[in-house]
Amino acid sequence: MDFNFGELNEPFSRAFFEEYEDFSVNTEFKRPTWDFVNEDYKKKVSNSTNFLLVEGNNAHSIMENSLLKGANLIAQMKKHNIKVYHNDQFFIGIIEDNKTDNFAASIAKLLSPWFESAKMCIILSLQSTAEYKNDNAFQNCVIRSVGNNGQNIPTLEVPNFLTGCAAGICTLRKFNELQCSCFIAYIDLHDVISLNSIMSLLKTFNISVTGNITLPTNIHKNQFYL
Amino acid sequence: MTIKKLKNVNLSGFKLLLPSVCVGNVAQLSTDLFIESLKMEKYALLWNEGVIPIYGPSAFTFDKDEVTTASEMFVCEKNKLVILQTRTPVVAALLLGYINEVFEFVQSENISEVIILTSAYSYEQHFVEKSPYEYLSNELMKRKEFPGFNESPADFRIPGCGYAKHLHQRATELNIPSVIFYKYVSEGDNVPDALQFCEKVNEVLKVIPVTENKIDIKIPHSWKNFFGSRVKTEIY
Repeated sequence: MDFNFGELNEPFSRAFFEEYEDFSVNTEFKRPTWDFVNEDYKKKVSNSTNFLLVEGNNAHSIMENSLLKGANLIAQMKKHNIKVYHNDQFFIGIIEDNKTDNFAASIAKLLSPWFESAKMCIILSLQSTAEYKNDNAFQNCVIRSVGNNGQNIPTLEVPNFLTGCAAGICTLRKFNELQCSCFIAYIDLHDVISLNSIMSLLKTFNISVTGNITLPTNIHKNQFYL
Repeated sequence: MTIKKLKNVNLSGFKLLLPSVCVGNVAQLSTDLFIESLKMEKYALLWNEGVIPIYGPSAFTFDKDEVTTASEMFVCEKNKLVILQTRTPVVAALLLGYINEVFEFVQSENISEVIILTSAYSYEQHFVEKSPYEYLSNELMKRKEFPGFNESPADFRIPGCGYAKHLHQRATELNIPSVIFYKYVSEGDNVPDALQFCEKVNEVLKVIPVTENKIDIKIPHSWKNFFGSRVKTEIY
């Protein structure tokens, strides 16, 4: 592979296949299940509700004192770090773990009760800037949209794409011919300026983002090594 | 698997070409070349729990409304060819379900034959002077010879071919003519491999026009920046 010096190039879009030759026909796929679901949510799901998913590293810690302030936890999957909240306006899915790829489609299906009938579905995927492929100069925070969202946000350039449950939900919405506002934020430094641009994006959908943004403490300082 | 058809086309008698996830993604890249060169139209979207989802801008057009998902079908009515492009691996434990559903579609649409593209690890080819292109077909294929491809034994293991042999095996069980075309390659920048493989497969299929011994292969615009952004000179 053509590596540039100092570049972290994770093979996320290359063949990371499993060994199909030797796998047993009887291999069991352990489908993910919710550890906890508040059944009351069913009374609240209607065509007038909205759904927001934030997926990516530190998604929960970034949002907990702003977006999630006052929201109630209604479902949880500890193994994959997934939580679903409900507030006055939205069902909010938060996925911390980016390494759920093998289960992404299954988890997206499990989230479908909340997003399938949602009037508005907003997907926000947080990724590292090291994963952003483009010709332009390096930026700390790049926000791009996928598909035509009617928002004044530049569209994502090929060959970049979304992965994980975010991609699963967008695919299912597309499948059902439902609109989905899909965004990807490449952020490196979890600083106030970068996080503010994400909050500004959420505010364009009239999502009330109150309180303070929490800067995660467990992040790597940069993406380069010497 | 759920298939959402975007067009109404009678696929009876069409050939189905599909890649398997393999060494260097050569089969998927070659499939992209067929779709772009033949200006194929999107025929259907597919959803299967076993296919790892991705979602991004269109790989073939600049249309903002168009998106790319993990598994899509394209059709070329002129050449009676339908392509199932799968851009991500299939979860091994869910593979059999996926394959069964692919062949349910093949049978229900009365597709005449299945062409599987894949690749194998070059270090497994022990006769280095031999052509790197080989094929494996079942008895049901009317055509018995494929120019430019050497025949491989039926019980031959194709290391690095992904799930190609599982597809082939299922086709044989269902009495569907099937052939696997593969090339021995190494991981790396596999664009040249994909171009050569596409040209070789086209010698058999004869779908992409060839003028004065030059094949008119078109590269999709999405192949830009395959290996990440250019390195920034400021860091030195």
